[in-house]
Amino acid sequence: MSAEENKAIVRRFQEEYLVGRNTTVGDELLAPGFHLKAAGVGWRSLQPPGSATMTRAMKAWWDAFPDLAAPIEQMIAEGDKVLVVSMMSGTHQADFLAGPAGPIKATGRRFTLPDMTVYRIAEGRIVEAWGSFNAGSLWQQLGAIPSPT
Amino acid sequence: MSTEENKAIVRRLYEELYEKRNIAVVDEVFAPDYVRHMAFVGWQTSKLRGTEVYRNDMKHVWPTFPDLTVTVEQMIAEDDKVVTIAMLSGTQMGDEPGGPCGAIKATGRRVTVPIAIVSRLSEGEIVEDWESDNFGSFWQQLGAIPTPGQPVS
Repeated sequence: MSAEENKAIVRRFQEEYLVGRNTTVGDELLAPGFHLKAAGVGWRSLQPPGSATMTRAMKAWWDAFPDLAAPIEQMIAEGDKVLVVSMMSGTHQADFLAGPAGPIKATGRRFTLPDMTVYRIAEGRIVEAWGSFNAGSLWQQLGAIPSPT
Repeated sequence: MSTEENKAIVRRLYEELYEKRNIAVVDEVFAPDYVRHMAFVGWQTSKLRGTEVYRNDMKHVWPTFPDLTVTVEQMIAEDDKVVTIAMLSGTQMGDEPGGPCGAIKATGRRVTVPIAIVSRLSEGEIVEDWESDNFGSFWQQLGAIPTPGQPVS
């Protein structure tokens, strides 16, 4: 696959699955052994591999932020990798499970936060992703933590 | 400049800064009007410009994390942009005002956090960066905010 073909796969994944919530597209574009690594203490690996784990993680966002949006600002591709920079935003209308130490009760607050994710593609499917977003800023925007700095 | 040349410039910046502690490298690498955008509420753009952005950072970062290492894990380049994914690791030994830990007193704790940076280059210089780091995990590792199952210091 060319870098342009890989970009098209990732764009479809972002728009139809991450934002459009079409889990059929997620199952189609994520390889069975798909592995998500989230920026935490080093890279925190979500287990087990596969699209079901990704969909479970995304459900926390989809449930809490019914208007979740993430337009793509930049795509940079080389070899088998594509980096996506997107601007996430949403309104906190139900409990968000991924708080600092447990769920954050619905606040009605709106957040705006960039995300950077690197995808690795093999044979037309996403096999690995490294995601880095500033959870600290999200928690602050939802009022769950004070500003420690 | 080719994408390989651009990657070499960015790689050299991190090697000189974090392996050799050579702040003079910023004079070669950054354009005078360089700006950095950090992921907070949308993009928070640096008030400083040019070489002053990293000069000011390192003045605080090195005393706060004397054993700081930044290891480049991935580089992806296309056209005028270079993506760097790196692992930052260090022990918080200082707590200067204006530093990376703000009001968090020196904890002696070790932090390990990935950093993700998109750099845009022009004529061999970095003119713009976009950076997205998980400060939530950083603050948790320092014990400044709650972590599941762990007391806050």
